[in-house]
Amino acid sequence: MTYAIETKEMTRYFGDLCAVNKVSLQVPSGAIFGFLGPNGAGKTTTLRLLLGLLDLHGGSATVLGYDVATQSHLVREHTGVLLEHDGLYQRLTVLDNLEFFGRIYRLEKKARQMRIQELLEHLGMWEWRNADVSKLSKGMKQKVAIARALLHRPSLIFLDEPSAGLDPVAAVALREDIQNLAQREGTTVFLTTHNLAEAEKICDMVGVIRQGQLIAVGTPAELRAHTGKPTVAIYGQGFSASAVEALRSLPQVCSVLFHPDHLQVELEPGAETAPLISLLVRQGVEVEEVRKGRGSLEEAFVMLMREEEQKSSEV
Amino acid sequence: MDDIMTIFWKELKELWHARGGLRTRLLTYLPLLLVFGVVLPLQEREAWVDGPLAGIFAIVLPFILAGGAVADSFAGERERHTLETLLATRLSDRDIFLGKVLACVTYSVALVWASMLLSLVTLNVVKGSGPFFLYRNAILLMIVVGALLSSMLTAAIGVFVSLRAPTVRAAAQWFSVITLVLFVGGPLLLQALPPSAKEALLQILNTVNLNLVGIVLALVALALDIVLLALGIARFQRTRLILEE
Repeated sequence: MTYAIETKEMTRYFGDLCAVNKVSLQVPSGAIFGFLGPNGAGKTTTLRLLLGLLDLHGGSATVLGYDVATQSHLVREHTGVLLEHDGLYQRLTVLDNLEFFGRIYRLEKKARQMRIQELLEHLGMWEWRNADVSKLSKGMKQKVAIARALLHRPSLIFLDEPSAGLDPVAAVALREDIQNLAQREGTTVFLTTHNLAEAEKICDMVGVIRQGQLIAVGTPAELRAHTGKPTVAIYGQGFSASAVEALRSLPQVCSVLFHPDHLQVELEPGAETAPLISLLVRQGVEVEEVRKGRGSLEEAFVMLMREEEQKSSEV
Repeated sequence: MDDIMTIFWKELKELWHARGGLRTRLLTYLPLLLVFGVVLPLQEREAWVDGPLAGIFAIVLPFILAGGAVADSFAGERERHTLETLLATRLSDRDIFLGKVLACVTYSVALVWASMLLSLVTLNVVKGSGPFFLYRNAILLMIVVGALLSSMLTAAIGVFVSLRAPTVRAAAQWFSVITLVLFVGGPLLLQALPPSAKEALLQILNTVNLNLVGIVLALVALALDIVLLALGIARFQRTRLILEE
């Protein structure tokens, strides 16, 4: 397997604060990698280190085979970015913005124009090509910034919180665009996000960072399996307090949450659902629907954070 | 060179669109062209092309024009949150820096030269017949070379101010203070000199070759431009700029 990104004990300090602490990471080529973590965890610093915008204080990192310490210009030549801010020039039109970045990456005039049209049409932004960027909505700007990041057909794109500040509809549309474009162009995507539902849907692999340390890496399913417990949602009528209590007394049941129309039950790994349903029926509940599910990535993430907090408080 | 020109192209477009719509842009540039291209030449007539006034304006005006442009280009890029994306491209620090400086200098010099050219057209149109009004050689040199050196010097000083300022407004304010000190401080200092010192200075000015003084001043300005621009290049490092974001 080839890796688009490989880091070994990558470290960066800001004064006494260790913002990125011996992070060792491998991102396979062609994957959509989600980098998760709370605010101030070190996500943006990691991204800046990988782009060679900050110097490493320890360890090493290669991006697309280029050493970020000595060949950062080559890293930047072969990657595209959408950082925390869209980085678009508000006074210029959509076309002018893309023209500028096309020139930066030395695309020939005709190839540049064709590529701009191709990307804008794919993103549904071609009609807006002559509009000033300042006139666009946040979602539209993000689309233009995605087009800019992909303009020179980079092998890898870095996206820093791409759906931050977008309404749910625009966020879903953007997620689909990223997925489609990455798939179509065979681009590796390194994505930092707070949005765990987004990461779960879009990412092949995720890494979790906390206080500069990488605390988990794997596929979303692996992370869920490792830390999240299976759950079951039981829909029906006649949920009584005694029925809920009876459920809670079962050894395979970890917790029961009562909602107006259903019960959300967290189970021990490998627990069966059938005994729960029998018990509820015996208690007079009319069960209408049972939905099995594993814990979400969000639950797994929260659990990871709590575990780490506990570990640090023990130390 | 291609990369410098790419930045140059973007900067000029941004400067042109900085004032918003066409009407606002006209309201910005027209007064400048009217004052220095029409009103003052008509007031001064022959003295405009023979006296030092046009040359002095050509040297002073860039402090306003290039100063504003450089604040918008350097502090503005940071204020508008476009700097990090630009630094994340393949462009070298030096090319970004030089592209920006070149654009600010071109913007300033083009406006000064356009005003001075317009003043010649105005004078000759009003005159109607007879030999053309043309600038004296020394004045022409002040306009062509002086405006260029003055724009470069302003841009070079402006870079340092703008790289430290958090916003375009702050950069412009700091730069105004520097300009004020330069242009008001000098004459005030002269006024404060004792009469004997003033007389001695006048005597020196009367005996010395003014053309030679001009050449020496131009060479000093050129040397200062080169040193300040080299320091600017050394200061404009992405790993440093990112930390100031």
